[in-house]
Amino acid sequence: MKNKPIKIFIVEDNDVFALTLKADIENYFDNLLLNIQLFKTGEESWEKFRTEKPHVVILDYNLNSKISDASDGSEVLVWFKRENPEVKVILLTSEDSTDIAIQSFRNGAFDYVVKNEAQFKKIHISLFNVFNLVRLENETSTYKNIVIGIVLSLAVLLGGMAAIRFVPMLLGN
Amino acid sequence: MITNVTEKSTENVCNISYLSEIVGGKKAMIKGILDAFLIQVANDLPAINDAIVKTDYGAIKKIAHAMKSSVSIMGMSVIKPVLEEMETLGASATNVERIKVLNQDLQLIVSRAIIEIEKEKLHYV
Repeated sequence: MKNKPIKIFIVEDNDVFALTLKADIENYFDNLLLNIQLFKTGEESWEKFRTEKPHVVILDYNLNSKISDASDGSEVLVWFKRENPEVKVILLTSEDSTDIAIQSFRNGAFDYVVKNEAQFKKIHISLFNVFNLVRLENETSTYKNIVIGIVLSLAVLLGGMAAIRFVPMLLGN
Repeated sequence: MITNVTEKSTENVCNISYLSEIVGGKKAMIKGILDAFLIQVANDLPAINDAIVKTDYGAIKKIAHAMKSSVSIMGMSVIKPVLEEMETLGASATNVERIKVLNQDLQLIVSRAIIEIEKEKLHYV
């Protein structure tokens, strides 16, 4: 987490909003190493999503306002979660709809932010929670690796000690 | 006129201070966003005109909706009720005559905004 950048994809067809959001996140979390990439549609982001495995995706719900045949955010969310269940997806919507919220959480969204005056502050809170979760997951993974290492070392040590007991027998004493 | 903005009024329709605050005053970022806004509205204005000519309510709704988040970033609060009404009428597929009146305001205010932003950009070279 300290040395590797946190990868964030912003999938949003409004360039002004996407650029502002990127600048806002970089400014607000300036103590973190971030790698933020922008995409206009889910289709455009798909190859990079598969190869780069971002930690977080900020995904607009209405992705077809300019490119009419683009898949909407709810479909793209399903692709992303199917490809990488670990990815944290924050869905952005323009309307405060309970149905969309429930559907999003059912499909694995980490959070759901309505675009309004407080949108950037809400995204900060959501990202703050994501970053804490990613850090905890990384720490858990590190401790898990340490425990596995200790267990393996003990096994080698004990196995070695057991083998030493047979050395005299093998030497015919 | 739906808003108080006229061709002769001198009050600014944009307020870049919100954008500046969001990006921590970083000039290159502000310039990039202003450029993106100019490109976006240069596409949006003819697109909404075209949609009105064709009475394509779906397109009117989509464009008005998409413009709302851009104009709020530019601090163009005066245009927000115009876009909201256009979006609502587009969604209900009614009253194209009212949409035409609203569009006159939209075109006037955005044209004013373009001039203001072109001037503003000179501070971020």
